Amino acid sequence: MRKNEPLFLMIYVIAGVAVSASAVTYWSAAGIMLANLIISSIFFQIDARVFRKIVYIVPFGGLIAFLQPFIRGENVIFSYWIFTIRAEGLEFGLLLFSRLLSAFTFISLIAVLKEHEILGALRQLRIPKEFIFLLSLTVRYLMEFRLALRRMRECMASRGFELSSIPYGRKLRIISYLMGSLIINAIVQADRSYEAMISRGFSADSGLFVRRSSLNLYQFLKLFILISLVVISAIVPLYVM
Amino acid sequence: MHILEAKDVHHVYEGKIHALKGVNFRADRGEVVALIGPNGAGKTTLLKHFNGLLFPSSGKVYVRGVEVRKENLRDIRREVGFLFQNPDDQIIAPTVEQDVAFGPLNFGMEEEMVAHNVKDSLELVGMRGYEDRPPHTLSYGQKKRVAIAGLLACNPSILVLDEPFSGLDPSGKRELMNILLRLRDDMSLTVVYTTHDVNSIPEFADRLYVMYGGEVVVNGTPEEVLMDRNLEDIGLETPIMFRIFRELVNRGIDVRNPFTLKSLLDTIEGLANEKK
Repeated sequence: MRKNEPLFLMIYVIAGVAVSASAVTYWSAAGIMLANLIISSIFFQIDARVFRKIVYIVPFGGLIAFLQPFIRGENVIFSYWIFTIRAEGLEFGLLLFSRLLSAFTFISLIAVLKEHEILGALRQLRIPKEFIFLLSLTVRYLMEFRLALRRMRECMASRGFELSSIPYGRKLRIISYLMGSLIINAIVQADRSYEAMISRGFSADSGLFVRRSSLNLYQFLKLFILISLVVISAIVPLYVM
Repeated sequence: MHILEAKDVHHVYEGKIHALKGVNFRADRGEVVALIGPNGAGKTTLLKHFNGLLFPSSGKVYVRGVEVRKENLRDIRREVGFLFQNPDDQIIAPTVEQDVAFGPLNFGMEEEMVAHNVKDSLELVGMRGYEDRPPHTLSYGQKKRVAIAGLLACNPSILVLDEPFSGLDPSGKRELMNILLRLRDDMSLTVVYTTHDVNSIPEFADRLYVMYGGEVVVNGTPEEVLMDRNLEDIGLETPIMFRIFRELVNRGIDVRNPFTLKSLLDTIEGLANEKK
């Protein structure tokens, strides 16, 4: 990302999520999503593969949307055995799913940013520094624990251990050993890191260094136009459909 | 006035383990002081007193003549940079630049000054160009250098390093040693470090402290200590060059001081010529 672009993209994503969440019909949400896909490929030149990540998120939101026709509304449109589908619930479920899908297309764009660019942009958007600091520690040590887990698994493999070839009960026990060991490592690591932090003057007021950048008038105008396009794409289907 | 001093320092962990038993220590400005001893001798415990991570159960620690107390910890920690043995304990931010800037920001430096110090510190340790790299993508030696840059960015006058050379290959060790010597020579930084690598001491350290069982058993210049003291008695190793020097002295051969590789070669050459 070029200088200032993380902030630019982050504002665009937040605005996009806000517009998606307030779409009043699923056609509006679809319009927003389409506008985003076009803007992403033409303006941001983002590889469409970025949106593949949606596949991992959709099942969670999708499940909530999927349940709506069965639990919400009064007008029954279909009934079989214990399953009853109601019109209002179906309408709401579709709206919810389309809003989620649209919002996820915006959130997926964050994947093109590096961790520190995300944190820097969030900090400039006045997200509390305590939150940013916790997030940065999580980002930092998640990678360390991933490496630690890999090392432990390699050590186990070097002693002939293969997870796929053992009975389920033993597999569960071994995985719990691994998790237990990781948790203990995490506690010890937290102690050591805290000691190292206070040796460098860490206190309740501490925060992370963020490279300052701001949007110039030209970028501000571009952002305004892009967000306006997204909003228009939400309004047009209301008159067309 | 010594820049760093410990006077009769005792430390008892949780009222049970007597880790330090009346340690006296001093280091002067621009001096490199090595601290050796077997595991559990109290080296790290002593170092932690210099940064105020631990306080003496009795005795006193002074930094630039000021006693280390809870009230002045911020100033002490700015003055004394502490390098932990494992750089992964020390590097806490998601990028190199943010980690190096962590200390200066904590000590209330202006952001412009922080950016300037970060740049200079990374330059000093040869890590310019790595600003945006996440720490887990660095080698162990690079992480050590980033951790040192994090200390330098705070403008300390003393660096306290816990096993700085552990886990480094010979070239990494040499690079780090050169960086530290440059800091001593160019910036008059005082460097106090612990090590098990006794071979590096004669060419790197100006003064040597040997600890055993929570006490300083001997101190002096590396030559004095390594020539006089049999380190094997306390589970350490005497550098091979000093073992040869000592053996030559024991056999009544006149060896020339200073005890360097050159003087050893001169002595051997002299012996060979005599034999001819």
